[in-house]
Amino acid sequence: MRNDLIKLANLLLDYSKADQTQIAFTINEEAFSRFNENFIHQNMMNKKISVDIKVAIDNKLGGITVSDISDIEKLKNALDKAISIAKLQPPSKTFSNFPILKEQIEPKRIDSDIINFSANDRADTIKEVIDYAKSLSLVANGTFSITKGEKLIVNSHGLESYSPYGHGFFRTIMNNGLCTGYADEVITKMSDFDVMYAAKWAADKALVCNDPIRIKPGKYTVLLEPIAVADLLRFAGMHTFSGKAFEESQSFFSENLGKQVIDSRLSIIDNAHHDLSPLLPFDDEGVARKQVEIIKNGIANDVVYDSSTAYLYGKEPTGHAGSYNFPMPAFMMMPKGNKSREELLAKIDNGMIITRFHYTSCPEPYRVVATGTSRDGTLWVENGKITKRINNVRFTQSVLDTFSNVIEIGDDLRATRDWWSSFISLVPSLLVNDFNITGTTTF
Amino acid sequence: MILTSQAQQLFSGGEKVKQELQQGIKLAQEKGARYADIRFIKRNQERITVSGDSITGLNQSEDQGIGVRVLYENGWGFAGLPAGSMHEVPELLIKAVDEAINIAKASNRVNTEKIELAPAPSIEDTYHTPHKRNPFDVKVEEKGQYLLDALAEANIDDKIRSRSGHIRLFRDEKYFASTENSYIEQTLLQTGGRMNVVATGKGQAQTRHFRDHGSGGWELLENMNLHSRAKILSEEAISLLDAPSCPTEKTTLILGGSMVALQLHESCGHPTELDRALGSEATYAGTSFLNPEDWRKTRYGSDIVNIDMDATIPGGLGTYGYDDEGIPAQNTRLIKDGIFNNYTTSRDTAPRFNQESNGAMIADGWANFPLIRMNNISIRPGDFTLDEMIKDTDDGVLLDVSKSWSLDDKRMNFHFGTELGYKIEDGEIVSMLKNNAYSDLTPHFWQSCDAIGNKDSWHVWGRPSCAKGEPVQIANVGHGAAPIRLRDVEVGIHE
Repeated sequence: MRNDLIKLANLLLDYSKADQTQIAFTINEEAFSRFNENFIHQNMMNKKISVDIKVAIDNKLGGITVSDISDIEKLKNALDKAISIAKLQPPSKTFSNFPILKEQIEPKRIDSDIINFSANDRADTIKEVIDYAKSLSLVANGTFSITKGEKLIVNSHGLESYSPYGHGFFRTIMNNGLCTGYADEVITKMSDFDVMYAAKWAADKALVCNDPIRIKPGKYTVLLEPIAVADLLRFAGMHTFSGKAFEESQSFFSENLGKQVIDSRLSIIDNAHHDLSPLLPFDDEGVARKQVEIIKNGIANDVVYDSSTAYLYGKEPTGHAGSYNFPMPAFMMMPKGNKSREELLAKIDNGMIITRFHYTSCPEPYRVVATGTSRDGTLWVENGKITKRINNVRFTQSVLDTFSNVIEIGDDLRATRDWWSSFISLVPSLLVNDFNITGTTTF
Repeated sequence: MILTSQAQQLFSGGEKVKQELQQGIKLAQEKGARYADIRFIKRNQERITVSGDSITGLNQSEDQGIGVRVLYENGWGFAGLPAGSMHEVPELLIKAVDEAINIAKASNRVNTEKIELAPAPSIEDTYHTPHKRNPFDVKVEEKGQYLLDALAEANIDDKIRSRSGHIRLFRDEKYFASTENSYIEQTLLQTGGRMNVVATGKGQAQTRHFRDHGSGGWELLENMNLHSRAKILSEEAISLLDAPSCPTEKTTLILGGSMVALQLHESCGHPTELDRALGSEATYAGTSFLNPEDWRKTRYGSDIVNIDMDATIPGGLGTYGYDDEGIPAQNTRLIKDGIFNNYTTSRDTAPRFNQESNGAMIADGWANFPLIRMNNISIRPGDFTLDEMIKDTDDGVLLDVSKSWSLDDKRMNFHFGTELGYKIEDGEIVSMLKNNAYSDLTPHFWQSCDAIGNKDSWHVWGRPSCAKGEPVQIANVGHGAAPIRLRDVEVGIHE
């Protein structure tokens, strides 16, 4: 469809009477199979077409989004409407220009096995998981999704960024009626996806269910598994690493750039081009995503920019415009450590494993104080051994403090989504001390 | 049914759409569906964003498409396809029905147990949101200037680092047909907005915001008094910079109505959704502490706590005529005299309790599978004024306006942060507080409620951002709320 989209885009750019024009075409297809109580309760596909037109006339901005690409006249009408909208506005004080073409971007290479994965394939995969759950007297719950499509962004400065995309996501909860276990996998190559590995990982956790106890609030040694680490990192991504928050003095980096902010063994690099990243090689303005070294050996080093924030503050865009109205990282990566899971556990005399969190939030964004409860596998560890399940816990602590209290770093680097699915990040397990538990749940 | 002449003009349905959708239903039946519904939806949205003294964005969007849901033997299948125009619909319906049937057949590779549907009436009707002034007809200049003028009032001091806001307009034209011989046309119209100010200084940033939305026209926004509120927001944000932090203690908590709205949403609206209680949303949104065996037995709150789900409240953001299974909007008492009384249900979950659906199955547009969604979750008002509550409190805090929220996956343990806080001593507010939060277990929280604000302090707050499901769907919901008082609640951020 690439050539058809480019042809449409060029017709519209030629037609446009605006000073500047930006057009983004997205053709997105999603398929979701959801299962619960050992049966599929939702099974669906949808296809959406979106044409996002933005224009600028004398620094006045107008935008319109339509969903029909079958008729060029309709698209021209939409463009005219965007221009009419722009003319109604006062000049923007924050807009300079749409991004200038800097480099041609290679389209992403997509796994054809993912693109061709059918509803029957999803159902058969889910059946494997359900059969395994039943064999252990567990109930399986989960989601298997495939997302695919293509995106083209052009503007009147000659920018033309195109790429197809396609990735999958599988997750499951195993439940024995009292206790749950969870596993998930971001799928960028279907042949690498081992659904039974995920099913067994989740089942093993559900089966640690010996009289869960409630622990007292206090500071604990905690092994944060990668999904939990990604959830904490999310808040720094939103509130600390954004160029807009930084420039508006709302980021902890605003007054601490160049200073040690977390453990010196940790670095955070944003690199959407990594093999395990399902993201496009360009941002929502078509700008090539740059690799940004946000934290270097624990020292606050850099932040990410979209074009409007960059031009407003005299910086270079880093390719981090997204669906939010401010720049954010895309694919944050922490380097892996050299400790196996067994070696990490061996360092815990009395402490816990947290598999993942639920509904985390950030009541104090400047210091990145986050809170949330654990779920689907909060396990007590004594003398290096998992001994029992404990009721889920609430933590309340600055993410920067948590990342400063690192004892060891795991070698289990993996791509994972945070609970909100704001980001997909590549992170290892972290063993931390003084993790602040402020409450417990009843289960 | 109230139907204004303006609403009638908005709606452009007709016999042609009805014939096409009914043809699609017939096709699904011919292909073996034992149930099918089809929705053709045209959605228009407009968002005007403002930052400082400039309009920074004016975006209009329109899309339309069809969603076909079928139940084939023991499995559901759904297909959503975009429709450029009505002319494409006949051809698209053939594709979508085929796709939905194929997906449903795939479900049958796993499913063996029969899915029962609660009865549904056969309905032919229309519903249109009553309104005075269609917000899509108001000139863009007028809308933008309205918000700019309001935010100009917030420009009171150099400490105000950021002033921003937006206006959000929403309209759905929905056409629904099902194998129950139902055909329903609806137009849902919503209007609302938000203002944010940020004050910075002394190494901190303090934010204040106001937001509200409802079903109705431009008159809703004009009645929100944004101009007078904007200056107050800035004054409060600046004051917060010098305010002491909320103490960390167990104390009496008075919650303002805006915060009660969020509390109702998170700790009553979601846990009473039956699909969550059954585990259907476990991997993402979570489940519920209100287990099926607790139905009509468990004490949820104190005797004075009565909470309704009511899709018929005039002006409520969750108000509609019919849900996406063709069930009429209705009022269901979720919590009755403090006892958990009802779940929010759908046609395929209500039979678990030998109940009929209470009409809360809603999809986000044409492209999504309907889910059980709260509509307007409201606490019934009590007798107190806010002043009376404060005067009747020896020691405590008054907190309001959501800043952050976090709950466990059964909605039992929660932690909410608020922008505004005040210390109460001997029946009087003595100081402002910042970095405010409170946390508790849901049953303890509501069981400690000993005062509820009266009718005059009750307002239906609109929240157009309820996320649920995979793929994530957004629902627009309302919450009728008044200030409430709770005893022995943990407050403060326990770092």
